[in-house]
Amino acid sequence: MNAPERHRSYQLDEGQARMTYEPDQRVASAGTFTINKEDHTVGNLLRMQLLRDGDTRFAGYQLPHPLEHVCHVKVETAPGRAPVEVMGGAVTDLRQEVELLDRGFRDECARAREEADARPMET
Amino acid sequence: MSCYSVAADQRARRPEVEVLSLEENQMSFEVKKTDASMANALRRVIIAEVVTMAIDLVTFEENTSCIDDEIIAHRLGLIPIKYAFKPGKTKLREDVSNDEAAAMSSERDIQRRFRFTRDCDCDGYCDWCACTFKLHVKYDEVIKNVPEHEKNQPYTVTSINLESDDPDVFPVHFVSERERNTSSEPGIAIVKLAKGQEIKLSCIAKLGCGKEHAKWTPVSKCVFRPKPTISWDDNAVRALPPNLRNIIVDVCPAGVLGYEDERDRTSIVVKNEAAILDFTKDIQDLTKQLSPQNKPMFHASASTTDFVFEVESLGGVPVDDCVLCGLNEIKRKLTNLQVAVAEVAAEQA
Repeated sequence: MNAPERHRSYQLDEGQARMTYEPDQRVASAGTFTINKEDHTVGNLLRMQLLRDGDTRFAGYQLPHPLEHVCHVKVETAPGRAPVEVMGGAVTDLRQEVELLDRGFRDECARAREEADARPMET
Repeated sequence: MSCYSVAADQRARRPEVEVLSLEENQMSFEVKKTDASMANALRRVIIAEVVTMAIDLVTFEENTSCIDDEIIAHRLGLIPIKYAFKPGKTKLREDVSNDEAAAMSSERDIQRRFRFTRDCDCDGYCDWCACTFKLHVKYDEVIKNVPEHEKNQPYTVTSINLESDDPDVFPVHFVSERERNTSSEPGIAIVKLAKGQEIKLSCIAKLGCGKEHAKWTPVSKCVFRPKPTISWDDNAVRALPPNLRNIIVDVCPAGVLGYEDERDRTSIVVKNEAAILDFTKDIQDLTKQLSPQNKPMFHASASTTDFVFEVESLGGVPVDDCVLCGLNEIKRKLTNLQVAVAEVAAEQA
């Protein structure tokens, strides 16, 4: 059997970097980030967050091939701000957002539990 | 600048969560002030990247049933496996660093107890990366214990016949009490045995995630829909004759629209928010026709920032833990990316 290991779709290969960056050859302040072992989940998340930045001129992502577990994110920014900088900002903002979601969800579940526990006592 | 761009201080969204219902195996919650990309990331991650346990390797010793080994192995794989953390009793992994432990969703996280088999240094499998189940049913023996009127029936081997060798890991027989009370069998049916037949096998359950195989998906349902914003021109509706109001209610399938007060029947309200967006155009066209000013009396649009989630667990992982593990998985991905971007930035400089 020569089928690749199933976990190769989400676990980095030995010595593989999570992300590499290739500046565009023709356009200044533009480039492609290659994110290994990631898919639409992260690709679309990053694209939408990059577009919230006023300095982003273009942001798009693609999965080049269904059997290659790689996600390309292309960014073009306004001169004066490098794509890596904008990408860093987007990732940090998203990280903060998930932290808030997580905290909000935990609090709300605790509240829902308390309410459910309190209900039979009232009747 | 794109049409999505916002001021620098608003780039990081400040989302809010509201739990609408939380039951034994299903829940519904709303996330507000976020984006469809975040909602979709959460949905995808819950379905495909939450780590759970499932039977992955089956060794048959005896199978004289009418079902092939492969089919039985497949059915065994699909049985949800529950890991229940018992504080103080469960022996947790000692090789988990404090940072790793902090990055996990909770102490209940299955990865505090088990390693992935591929990361384990054992030969094949061990207590730290797998759990073994045994199944041995011989028709001629089990039939002695069934009531007289079922003696000539085939015997159904179910998940309750699976014996786990780990007290904290066991198969899920039913997702809820209600299912338990309505089921005709004592667990999940695996195979039926007739007179003289026997089945004897051992299974190894391993960690995995939905990306590898759907049997590791912890949920049977995880969907989200945009929350609709609804507005009625109440005065115009009130001014209509009662029979025309009935026509408006009847333009949608039963239960979508209804009267605020069944006796009063003057103002119409949306009873089913989940379905309303599919019928908005029908209601608008109809109310426009009925209106003396030729103006629709109803307006509904999908929100781009608020989403309603519905999640249903298979029983292996509690439903709120499915979502927490999902959020945790996105967090882990983004933390990895933060590190990676910093590395790329250092390289560029």
